[in-house]
Amino acid sequence: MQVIVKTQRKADIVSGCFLVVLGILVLIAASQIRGGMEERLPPRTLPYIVGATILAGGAFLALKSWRFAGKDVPLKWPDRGAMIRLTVILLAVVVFVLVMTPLGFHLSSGLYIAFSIWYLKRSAVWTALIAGLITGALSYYVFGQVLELSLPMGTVFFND
Amino acid sequence: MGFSWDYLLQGFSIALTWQNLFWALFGSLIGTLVGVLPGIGPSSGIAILLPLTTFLPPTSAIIMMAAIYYGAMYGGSTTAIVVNIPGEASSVPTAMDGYEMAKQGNAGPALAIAAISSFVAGTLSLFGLTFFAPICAGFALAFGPPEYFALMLMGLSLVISLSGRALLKGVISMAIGLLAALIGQNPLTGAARLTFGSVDLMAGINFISVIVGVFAISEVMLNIEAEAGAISLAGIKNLMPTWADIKRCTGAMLRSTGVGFFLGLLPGCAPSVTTFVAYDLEKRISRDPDRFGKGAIEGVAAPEGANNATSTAGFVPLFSFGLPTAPSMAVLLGGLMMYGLQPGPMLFKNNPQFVWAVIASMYIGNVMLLVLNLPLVGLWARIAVVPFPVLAPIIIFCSVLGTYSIRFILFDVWVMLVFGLIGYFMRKLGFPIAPLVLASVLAQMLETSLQQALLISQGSPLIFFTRPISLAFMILSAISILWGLWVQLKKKSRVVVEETDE
Repeated sequence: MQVIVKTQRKADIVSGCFLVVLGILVLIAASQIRGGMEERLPPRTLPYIVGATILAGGAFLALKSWRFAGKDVPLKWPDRGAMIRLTVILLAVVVFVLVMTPLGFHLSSGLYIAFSIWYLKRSAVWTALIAGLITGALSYYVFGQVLELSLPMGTVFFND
Repeated sequence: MGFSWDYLLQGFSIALTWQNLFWALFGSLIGTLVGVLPGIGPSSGIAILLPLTTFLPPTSAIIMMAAIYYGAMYGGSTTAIVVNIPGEASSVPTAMDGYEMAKQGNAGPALAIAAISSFVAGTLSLFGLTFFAPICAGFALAFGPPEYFALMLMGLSLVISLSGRALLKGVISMAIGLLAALIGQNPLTGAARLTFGSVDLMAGINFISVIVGVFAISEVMLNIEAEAGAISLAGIKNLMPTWADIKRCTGAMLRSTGVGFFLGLLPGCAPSVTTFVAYDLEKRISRDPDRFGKGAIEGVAAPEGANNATSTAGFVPLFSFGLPTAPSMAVLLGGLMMYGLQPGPMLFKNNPQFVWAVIASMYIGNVMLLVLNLPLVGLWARIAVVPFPVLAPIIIFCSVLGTYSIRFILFDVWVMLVFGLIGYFMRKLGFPIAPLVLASVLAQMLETSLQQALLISQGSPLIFFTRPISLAFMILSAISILWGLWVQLKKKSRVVVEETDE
């Protein structure tokens, strides 16, 4: 990605093309909305308008940027280290959400907090562990017991 | 419909119950914290907490949410002054002179004047809210569906035109917000739209997930990318400003209140805009403009006053027309809707206790914030030292919990993460976020009022141009878009839009 869209102009061309595809998809999906033609405002009208706006906006953005001859602005993308950091943290969130149902909200949130803090600040092993424990405990007592939010309890432990 | 002392006193009697005092204090504390911490803004703060307030009665919940909002406006100045890191975009002008003062050993007076100016402007603009909002609501009683549609269109077009030189991207951002809101069942006919046969998508995309994603998650991603670390902090001495300082700032406080309040009534004029206007005004009228940027105390008082005046002013169109002027207001509108309260003139008519209790609580909240910010400023500054590697996972955890708690379906959490990525790329590629957020909140009302207006006119769109109020809003919409186009054409250079959570 860094190779393709190093500058604002290239980024605008790429995002414009992406928006054109998105607009076409929206228009196709809008054409499949059923019923309501007897209505003053049929349910497919706004999706059509939105799809057309995205398509036209994307096309205009791509074309305008294609023809742009002024001074280009470089984009600041994350370096390799930052990219790895971002990927790991996002994957950690994805795993957190995936294990929430089997392990339960409280345990998975404690594990997520402990791992993420440890990963972002390797020297803070104890901080990570304590923060994980506190998060799990607070989550259980405050959100589970006091506020009685129906959070997943964990299918591994509770077969409900 | 107009101002009534009876209603205001009744509002105070509700706001002064110990439960509501507690939630106002709690909201002020959380808001100050949100303002102090650089990784999270008021919109995300409110959006994350909103679903967790369902156990509260509506009045207490909205009192707390409003307190978070104006509390964040107080807190944003602390790190801007002490360590030159503005917690919010609106605190950038404060940092210009505030940090210079701190470097000269005057962090204490700068922090104190920021709190005093916030209090003065907050309280004066509350008088404005108290008297203007019911008058505007009375005016809005004459509105029918065409007027509401035109008003919301005007709100959206103003926000887009204020995207500066990214007008086209503002329009695309708005379209994406509308697209997100259109997914699911049509509220009027029940027809499934853009669901691609997915059962999850049938339930629709909750705008809280969208807001938390584009603000909180993308903000955290940007901070992780920048490897934001801990903030080092110098001690704060000599807290109180001198009388000469206060005298010097009095004019700045009053002028910034006027600027912040009246500009804040307009959609799109967020505190990040009005603080710069107020700072610039003070610099222009100063007898010694060269002092600005080198530690002028008026340079701290003016943006802080404008900041609080604008945030209070935003409640006037929100309460009287149901029109959010900024993303934070859109989240508050979402909160009201979550409780089945429809902001607008009928709110003043049908739920006067609620509106006046929230307004009264804001007077109390301002006093609380002055008390919290003056003596405890050192403590708040120390909280900013919490390293981001510890803060980031906690913000993500709160975001997951907050979005999951809306409907207790994991789908909402996935939506939040997807919009987090969308928000991250939008910020990187220079797409403004505010139009997306406002469109996703307003979409349903926009479609309903359009449908009702077309029913009245038997399908003729001319109804928007034949009724005077609606015509006026349509003309204003056109003017704002033309103005935006003019701004864009005037300066052809490519500028990446800098935008934060406000």
